[in-house]
Amino acid sequence: MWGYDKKLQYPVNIKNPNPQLAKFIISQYGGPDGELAASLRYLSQRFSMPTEITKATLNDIGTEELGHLEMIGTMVNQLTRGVSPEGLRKAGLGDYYTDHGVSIYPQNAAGNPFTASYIGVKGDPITDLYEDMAAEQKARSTYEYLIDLSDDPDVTDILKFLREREVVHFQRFGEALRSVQEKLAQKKFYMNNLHTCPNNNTPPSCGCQNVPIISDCGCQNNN
Amino acid sequence: MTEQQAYLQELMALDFKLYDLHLYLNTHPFDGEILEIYQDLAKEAKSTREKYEAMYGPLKCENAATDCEWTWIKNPWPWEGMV
Repeated sequence: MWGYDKKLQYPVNIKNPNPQLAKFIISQYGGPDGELAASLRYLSQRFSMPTEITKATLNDIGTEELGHLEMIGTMVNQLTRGVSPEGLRKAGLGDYYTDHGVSIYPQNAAGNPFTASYIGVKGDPITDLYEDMAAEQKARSTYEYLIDLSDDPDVTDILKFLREREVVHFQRFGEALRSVQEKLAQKKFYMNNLHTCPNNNTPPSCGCQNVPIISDCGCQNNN
Repeated sequence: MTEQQAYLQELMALDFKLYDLHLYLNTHPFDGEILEIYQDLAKEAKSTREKYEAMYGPLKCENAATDCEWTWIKNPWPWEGMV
């Protein structure tokens, strides 16, 4: 269950409208390496994560990404505030204005709507965590390109904060991946995350001896 | 149902009542009668939450730092159910 704090993770107070920049930055709202994709990717993958470390990491970073989505929406909103339809048109946002007015719609910089094909959810913790690390690097690159394009220090400052978060997430995902790999390298392990209790009980209360090491059964007899 | 489940469900019911009133108050921000009910319920939910967390571990990460362990990550997570 989620709650809402009536604040942003990092302040967004952009003084000057700049629809041209808004057109680029919206890619981090609904583009392939954007915050919506990131959040859905991690929050969906967490259901098949095998350990406490990986579950917590995906849950919490997936949640933080929702906060970043809010920051990006705020930036686009402020960058287009008070801009006339003519101004939007000159910035290449005439098509956007036609379909969405001055609201925020999840699309990439070129105008393609968000699609779930931007995310991978494979159900294998190693595969998914590698995907997540790659995703963080792609998001970092995107923020760097946006910083290259930015001609407003207010905007650049926020982009630098978001870029830094991608670096931190990459680090945490790397640690989570390593923790799974270490678990798999232990003397006795099963490669699947399915409970194989003969009594058909389900984790975590089962207590039978017949459990995969990376399950949540909670029994102590699996080393 | 275990004692923990029963306690958690009590808190969930309280939080849900609060939230439903929250939505109502968004569109009726000056309804004094409901404001009073909300205040009472909020107190009850807060103390119920504190008792639950003391017995069964944190629901919010702010309460997860003990002297020697970050208990936030501990199983079970909500999607796993409680057996």
